[in-house]
Amino acid sequence: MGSYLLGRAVYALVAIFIISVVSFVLIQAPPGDYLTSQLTRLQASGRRLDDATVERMKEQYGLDKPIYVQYGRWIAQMFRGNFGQSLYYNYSVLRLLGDYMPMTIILALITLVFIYVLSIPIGIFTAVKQYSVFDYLFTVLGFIGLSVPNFVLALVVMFFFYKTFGISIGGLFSLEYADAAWSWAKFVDLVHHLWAPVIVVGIAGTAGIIRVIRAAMLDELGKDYMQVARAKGLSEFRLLMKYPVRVALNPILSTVGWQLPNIIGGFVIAGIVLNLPIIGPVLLNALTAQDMYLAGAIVLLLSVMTVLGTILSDVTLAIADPRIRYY
Amino acid sequence: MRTWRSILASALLVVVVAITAVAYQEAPMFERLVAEGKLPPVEERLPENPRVLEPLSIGRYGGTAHVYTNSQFWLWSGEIVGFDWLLTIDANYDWGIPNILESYEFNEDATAVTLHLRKGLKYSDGVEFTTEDFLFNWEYVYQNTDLFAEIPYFMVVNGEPLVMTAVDDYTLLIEFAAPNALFLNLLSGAGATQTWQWWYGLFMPAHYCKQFHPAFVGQDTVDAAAEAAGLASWVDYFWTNAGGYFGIQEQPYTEMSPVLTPYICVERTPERAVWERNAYYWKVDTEGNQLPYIDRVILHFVESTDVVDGKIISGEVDAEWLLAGLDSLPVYIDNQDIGGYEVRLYDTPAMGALSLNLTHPDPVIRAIFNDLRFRQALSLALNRDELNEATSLGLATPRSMSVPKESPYYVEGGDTAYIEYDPTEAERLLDEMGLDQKDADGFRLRPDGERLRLTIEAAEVDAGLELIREYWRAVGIDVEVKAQTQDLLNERVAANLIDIMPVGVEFNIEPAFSMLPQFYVPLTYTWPGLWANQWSLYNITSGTQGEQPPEKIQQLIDWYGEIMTAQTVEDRIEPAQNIMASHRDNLWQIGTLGGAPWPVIVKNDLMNVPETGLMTWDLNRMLPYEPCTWYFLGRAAILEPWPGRFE
Repeated sequence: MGSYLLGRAVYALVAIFIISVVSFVLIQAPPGDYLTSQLTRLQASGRRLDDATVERMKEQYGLDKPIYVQYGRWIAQMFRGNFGQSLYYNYSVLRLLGDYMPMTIILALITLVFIYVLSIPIGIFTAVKQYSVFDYLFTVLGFIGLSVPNFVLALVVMFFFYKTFGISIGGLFSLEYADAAWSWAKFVDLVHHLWAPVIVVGIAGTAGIIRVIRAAMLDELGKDYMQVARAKGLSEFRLLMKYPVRVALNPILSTVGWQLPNIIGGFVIAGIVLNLPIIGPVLLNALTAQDMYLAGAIVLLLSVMTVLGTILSDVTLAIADPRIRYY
Repeated sequence: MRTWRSILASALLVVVVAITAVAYQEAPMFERLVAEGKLPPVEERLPENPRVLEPLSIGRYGGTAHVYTNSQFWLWSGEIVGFDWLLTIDANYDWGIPNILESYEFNEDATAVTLHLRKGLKYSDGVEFTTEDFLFNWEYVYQNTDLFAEIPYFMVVNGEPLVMTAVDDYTLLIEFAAPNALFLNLLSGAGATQTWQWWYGLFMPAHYCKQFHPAFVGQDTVDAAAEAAGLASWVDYFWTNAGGYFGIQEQPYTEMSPVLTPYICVERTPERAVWERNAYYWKVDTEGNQLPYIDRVILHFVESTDVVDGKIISGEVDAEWLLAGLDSLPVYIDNQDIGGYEVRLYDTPAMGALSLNLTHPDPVIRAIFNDLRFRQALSLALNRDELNEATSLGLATPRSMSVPKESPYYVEGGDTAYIEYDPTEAERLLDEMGLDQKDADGFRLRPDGERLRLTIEAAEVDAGLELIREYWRAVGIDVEVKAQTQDLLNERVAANLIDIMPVGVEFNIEPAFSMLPQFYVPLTYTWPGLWANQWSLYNITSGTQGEQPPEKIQQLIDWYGEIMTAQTVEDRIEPAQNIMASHRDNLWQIGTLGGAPWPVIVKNDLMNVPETGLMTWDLNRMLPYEPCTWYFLGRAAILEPWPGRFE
């Protein structure tokens, strides 16, 4: 097990290094850089800039150096815990991450729980009652959930919540609670506002997992050991839980690690439409403004989360399923 | 337009009237602080001659205004917090009206101007505003080669920088090497703290900005501070902290930095900015109440205009005029009752146009574009009424390239040149100019036998552009529409790679027009100067790059030269009309629609916002309607000062 873990860790480091290079290059790939997008804004406001000023600004931001020098600087600073200054927000990247990450992770975790709580029972149920009315109903709903883009769903859900419950559009708090200290009323207000984003982002994930579980269950249900167990008089419920469900959960376990970054990614567009104080919209802003330090830091953070999550999945899977051996 | 002399006279009259009726009142927010001695009484905080505004109705103090923006750079309607200029514009579009300045006078030939400051006018931290603020800005910022590689063009006349002398603390003499009445326009837009300042300012709070400048605290100190803040150099450090005064860095407002505007920023996070009334604000209403009326403004940073629309219809927005789009107008109107707000429509002098690249790198296309008949044909092929319905709910007006009728620079017929819809005549003109050969698909061929293919490039492809493509295809021109990111578009304009692009024509009225008539005169080769790209480049670089403009274009440049050196505002009329006539006769750019009204959202209990008005993007927006005189009828809750502000 030890050497298995060590091997995984080495692979992870290599993967993170490659990801960091790729993400840095990708962020730099579109034409122009942060400066050109800033100049665009200045020009849009009618400012005339002389070439000398532009050159001086380039030098200031270190944009006149070749890309590998810029990458080297960036990584070196990163190791010293200095994530740099966000050019777009004019705050340190660390402060922005500190401001946005906690709520992002809380929201993602709640969504994850929502997805599993809803999809696992439904998945099992639709497999056991295959071709029943419920199976068809959930299949149809599931496909709708998968195919409707979440920003459309976000708009619809947001409008529905406003019209029916009078819950203010966008954000995680009503205006009167945004400033207030934490209280029961503020918590209730937050819970009201959480529904919309959790449903919007959760629904596509839920639909996917229902399909996976259903398929895995159907594979198992027809197997001979089921007949044997029934013949031995095992109750239907215990039988289901002890054998096919356990096997069907394998694909879930193997993906649980990267579900979290995946959900955070899913929150980019929904976060903009729903105006959530989370990292998704910040990432998009950073990318469009070519704010490479901020965008780089977020992309890297998500990548590290994915890589660590995958290791976690592998280990859990190895523990949960004795058929898997370490080679 | 009145002359600056008569404006000066009338402004003085207002001041005199005001002096005879002094008994100043202030907001309840500060009463306790004054009683406790933490703040001087209002009489001591106001200048000797505060500026007196006549509000639509006398307001009441208190309340918090909630406004929204979707950008970290632009405040959008967050500019309700105000941006004051040395001179200002009023609701009738008279300009050059003393604002921060008490008065000013040019000498006979406009080679010098004397500025008189309001005695006792103070920054929000109580420090007096004096001529030193101008001198600091001029000597230590503009003339510091690290901060400014070269002195901005408008401070240089005839190759020589202006000369600034402080006569005393309240009198500043500025001299030029040649007549420079254009400086009046600069004063009219030279701001106190503001975003969106489209030219540079003339002063900064010296007492505050000195702490970031090596000449006052030493090079080592600023270098160390820059290093500690993780900034590249002291220049970055200076702009990060003082750039808000300049608009070079659009990050609006640093917390608690001294301002001359009605509100001071007390909190700034990535999610929102909070402003509170400036205790030293120097404007009063006609009853002597110190302005502003509203205690606090909270600007929420949201992620998209859709969110702003949502907030508007759910009644969470107190005022919005820059992010409320015409396309959402039906939605705003439908939800007026539920949201408890009113939609008002303001007029605008701005318009839309299509720029053909008259200096196209392909000589065949260039020859075609430069044939007047081609531009006339393209203009006649547009069904502007249908375009109006499709993009502006029929509320705009078809218009060719021109300043609005109300402008003194307007020439007869300038706004109606070739705007009728006449595709038959368009086809006839195209045939006549030799584009009469067509290929199998029915598209016209260039003289060299190739199909005439043109591409319209735009940052946003809307229904209007799609229609325009169809109109032009209908007369046999193979036009494509292509969406590009704004960055790429700008690079392609500068590199002269674009055939056609749409532009929004701004800077249509004074004081903006004479400063930067870039839509009418070749002044820039970057956005929005596509139409005369290489000629502009030639003009800017004094002939070292680009291409020499033909005679008719050189005339535009010469006329603008006359505007710049005109000794009075009246003297600008003739050359400006010449420019307009040239556009009317030559269709240098193809105008589409003008004057689509501007939706203004006003919460029902927000008072003193005019029912109608005129708004331009580039310059004044809500400024003539003085947001500092707006107030809330129903929720004048008196607020305590922001925690920590007066500790």
